[in-house]
Amino acid sequence: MAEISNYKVAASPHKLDSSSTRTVMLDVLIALIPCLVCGVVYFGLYSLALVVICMATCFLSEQLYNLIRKKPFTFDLSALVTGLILGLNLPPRAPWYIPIIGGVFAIIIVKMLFGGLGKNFANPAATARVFLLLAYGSVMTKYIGFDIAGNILSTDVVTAPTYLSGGTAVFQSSFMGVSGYWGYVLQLLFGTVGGSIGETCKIAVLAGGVYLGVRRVIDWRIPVVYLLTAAVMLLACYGSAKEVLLQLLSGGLLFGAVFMATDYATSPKWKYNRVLYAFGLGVITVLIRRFGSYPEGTSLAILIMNLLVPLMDKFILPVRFGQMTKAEKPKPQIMRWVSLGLCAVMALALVVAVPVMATRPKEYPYVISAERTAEGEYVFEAGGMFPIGGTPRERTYRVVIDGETGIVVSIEPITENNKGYVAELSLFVGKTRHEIAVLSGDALSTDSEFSATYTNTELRETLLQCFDYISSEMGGKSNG
Amino acid sequence: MTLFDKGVHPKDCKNLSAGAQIKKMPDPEKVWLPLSQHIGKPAIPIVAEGDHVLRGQLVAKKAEGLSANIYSPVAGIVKGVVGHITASGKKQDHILIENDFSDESMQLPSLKDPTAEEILERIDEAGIVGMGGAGFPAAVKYNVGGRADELVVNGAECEPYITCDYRIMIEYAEEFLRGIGYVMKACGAKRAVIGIEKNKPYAIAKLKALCPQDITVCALRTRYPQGAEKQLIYSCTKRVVPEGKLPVDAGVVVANVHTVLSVCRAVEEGLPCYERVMTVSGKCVETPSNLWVKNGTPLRDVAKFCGAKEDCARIVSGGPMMGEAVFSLKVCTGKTTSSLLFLDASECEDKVASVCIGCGRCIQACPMGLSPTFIEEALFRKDYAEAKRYGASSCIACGCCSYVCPAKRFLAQSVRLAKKIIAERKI
Repeated sequence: MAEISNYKVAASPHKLDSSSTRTVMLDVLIALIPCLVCGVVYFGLYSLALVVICMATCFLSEQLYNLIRKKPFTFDLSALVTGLILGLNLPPRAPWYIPIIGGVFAIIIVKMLFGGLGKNFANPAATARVFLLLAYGSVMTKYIGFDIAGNILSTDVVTAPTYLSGGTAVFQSSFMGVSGYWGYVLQLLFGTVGGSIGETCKIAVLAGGVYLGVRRVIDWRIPVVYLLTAAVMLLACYGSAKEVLLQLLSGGLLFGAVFMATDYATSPKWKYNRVLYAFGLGVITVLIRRFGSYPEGTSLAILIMNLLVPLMDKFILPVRFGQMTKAEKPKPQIMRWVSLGLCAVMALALVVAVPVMATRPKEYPYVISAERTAEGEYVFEAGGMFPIGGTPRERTYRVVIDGETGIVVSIEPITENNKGYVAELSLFVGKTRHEIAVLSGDALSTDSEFSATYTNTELRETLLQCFDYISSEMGGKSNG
Repeated sequence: MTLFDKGVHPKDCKNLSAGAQIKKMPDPEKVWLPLSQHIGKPAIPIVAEGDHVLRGQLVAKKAEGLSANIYSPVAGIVKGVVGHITASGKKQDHILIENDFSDESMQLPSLKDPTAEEILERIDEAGIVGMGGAGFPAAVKYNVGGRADELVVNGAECEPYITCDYRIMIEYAEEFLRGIGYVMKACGAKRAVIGIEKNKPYAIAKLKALCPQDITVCALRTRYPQGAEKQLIYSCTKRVVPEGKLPVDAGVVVANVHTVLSVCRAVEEGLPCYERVMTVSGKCVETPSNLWVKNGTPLRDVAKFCGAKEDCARIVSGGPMMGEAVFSLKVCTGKTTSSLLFLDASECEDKVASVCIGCGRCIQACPMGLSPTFIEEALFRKDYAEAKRYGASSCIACGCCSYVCPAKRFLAQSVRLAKKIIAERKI
């Protein structure tokens, strides 16, 4: 026998799992490739440049920090993951300096100052996104959309609303031969809507999520429970079954659920804590979307729940095998039953409520009467109790919409208890549904003396309902 | 409590030696018999330099308290009680016997229809200890005074590579089952369950066909550490051993496959415990084998017999998950040396710990429900009370946390250290 000489001694276990920090990060990068590819295909090479700038900034700022602090350089790919996620969170036509500011903020302020990899208390990408949103609000919400034919509006910066800010008006009337609601869903799935670079194509996001789930890189509980909770909350807050799918597939919810909420350092470590965390995410996201002033709530929800994670990790511990209570009874698995119960109740609620609500006819409280004339025009008597000067007052209008062009032909007041708050009818006449849908904020505030914003907003809602009424109840199309 | 769903699933690598029939390894020229092959006090030598001993002759008597007898595995001349290194690196007294290859032997009288007391006495006399690795004197373990109604036989063999129990269950099935009968009688159990992982279907089928009525075979999910005492009891009987208590408090006695076989041999043939079946495996062995090896055989002889290759990166005594890395082939085998692995670099990478990324895999994997990463954190800031709150005292040292850690942190060592400090300082 040849002499065995150069063997080593080490502590057990001698066999190790093949995954390492780098393979984990590499898996996340791989999972993000479909999102990146779709983003570049849809929004062009400029968005690829943004992502690359963001990744480079993140990587270099981490090394710069290491250099200044005289620490060894880190090549664990985690900075690239942060950079890629943040880059995919940017609007496709953001100015070049946005990814640089965001990347430096994410890495230096959020990650490295708190101790680097694994020590940050908040998700760097989510924090940077919220920071950019607050600091560069007008830039960060400039999404580019698609024209009616589904072609990208590639000319310069065109602000297009997303479904969350503009409603169904942002959709094309039919997509891949499917029109109406399921057409909208398909558009959201394929991502031919406005949004951040990486988050619009939900199929790509789902593919990445499945990859990470199968590779056991992320805990499937977080995205699944997050989406489940969000679905139930949407049903409860919006009272509409159709809203559930449209909202789940809109904005950054899915992307955030798969790639940002599952961030290791900032999500709980025990599986049942993760269920609780994902539940909180779902609740907060929908509350922000429905009642907050931002149309998008995912990043904020992730940040808020991130702050609760250390508390959960410290005080909600796994039940040990054979652990006993003081009374010598087996310690109950409370968290297990809470998690299972919560998920079961939510799933049951969805299964029961969605079919019930989907079959319930939609109500159009503002539509009083509607008819179709021989010339193909739709004539409405519409209106209701508008809040004017603090008290509700009755207003009704005669609205005529051209069935062919989908343009508002005329609006005539029938009863107008205005008390000086006169609706600015010229804002709406001669416009399509889409043009009306995108009116918001300052555009509706016309009267310097009385500031008839409320009146105009209500009239806008009234008109949108008339359009919806045509498309769903009278078999006409509402998109101009 | 859920089904045993935690733990890890390392590649079992058992096919290397699973097909190798148990062979007898030639007796070594010299044996260094460790006086402490068991938990408890070292045995007291009763032979002196120059004495001639027979195979199966008592050479060291058990000390007062917890201890076990030691018999000579070969016939030859005692060369004295010498200091020799053990696998853990400490120097300990060993009885050095030079083999004269006469193979003259003696044994204890065999027992016919023994009573429970007689069996216990024989187990004690034959120096049988728990041969799964712990080395707890079996007579003490089985003497439960009627508090147990069920015997669980640990045929899980969840450690990768090791196949000695598997081969015993196949090749010595009848003796093994008779041994279970003796152990049941000794501890007063009415039923016995043999827990076997599903990756040994042949053993499951064979034993199922041979089992008498009061013995059942339980096919277990292949999952490390399925063979850990408390996890095994739960998987086989759905009983939970309370924290800090012994299996007998849940009415169960656990016995290892090889221990049961040794009991049968001691009762029926009067053979004392001086040899055992050992798996020699790993990619750096020319002929992976299952061997009858005499206690006190230097590992060098075993390596030579099986043809260990020189590019071996690590030598492990015991399984790759809990076994000790051997630092010298001068170390000798004992009653609890179940395997010797010669691993190449691909089977055991040298790891460098990096920072914790907080993935929580250690918490998901821990079969005891501890939080290794938080225990380590608490240990580093010397907050031992916090480490205890996260459960450090319940660690069974299975090593699952270190195994799964993508940052390659030394979690198992940290938790073990925290457990030790908590016990020492009585926190």
